[in-house]
Amino acid sequence: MNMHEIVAEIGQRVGIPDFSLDSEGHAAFVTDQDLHIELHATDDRVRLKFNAVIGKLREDRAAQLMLDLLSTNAAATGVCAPFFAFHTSTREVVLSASFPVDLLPLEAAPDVLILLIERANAERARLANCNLQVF
Amino acid sequence: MDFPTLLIALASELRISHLEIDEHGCCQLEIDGMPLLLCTTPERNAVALMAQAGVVAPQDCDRLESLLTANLTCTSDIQLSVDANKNVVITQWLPLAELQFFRFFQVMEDFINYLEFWTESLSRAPTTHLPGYSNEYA
Repeated sequence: MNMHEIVAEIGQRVGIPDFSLDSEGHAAFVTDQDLHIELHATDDRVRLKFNAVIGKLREDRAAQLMLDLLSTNAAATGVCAPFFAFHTSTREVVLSASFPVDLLPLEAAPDVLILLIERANAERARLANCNLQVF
Repeated sequence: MDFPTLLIALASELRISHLEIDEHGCCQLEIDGMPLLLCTTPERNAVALMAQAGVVAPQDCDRLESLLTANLTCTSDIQLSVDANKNVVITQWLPLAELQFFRFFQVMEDFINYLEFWTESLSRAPTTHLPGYSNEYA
């Protein structure tokens, strides 16, 4: 099973039959819970990265929230464990997971994405009262 | 490859007599003066490279943002986090089953380069004006 086949398999799992990577290795969709998901194959095709957009920082000086996100990352244990990241230009907080294509069976990728979506929904609920505009 | 086999190969490569696994399933070593920790999951199916790069001040927005941004832009699987003592911890997990030592050693070299970058970066004084800032974090 190659990367394009696994992305098609992911599409089947999330109910998008013609889901595929574009020529730059990107794909995106929005879940029923309005969670924005991005997939990205790295240039060397060694990793498939999953990003779930949790929300947007309400203000620039949000040290407490950023520290909370980085502290939560300290508990991330194991391969493909989701961790928080930040998109500077869009001010979006992202929950990310990286799937090493060459070291894990590709068939495991959809399960990693499903777990990321479940965790992202839980984190949106947890962070809704923080300094974050949750989508 | 299992964890003990990996440590035997690593000790040989580094010309160390042996590398010990402690009661937590971790192994401490030092490369180029950089303390590193190798840990496994309880199932022993994955190995983590871990290291502390320095301390971040909890009010230092610029630096906290740069740490989180690096988690998005990093082209490898390396993650940055902050522990309870405000130490910046760099971690990379690898599945052991399909891992070859050559690949592990490559990953470890990239990890050490990343560690050196953040150690140097965090050793500089914060750019954000911090009320009551002392050189504690510099």
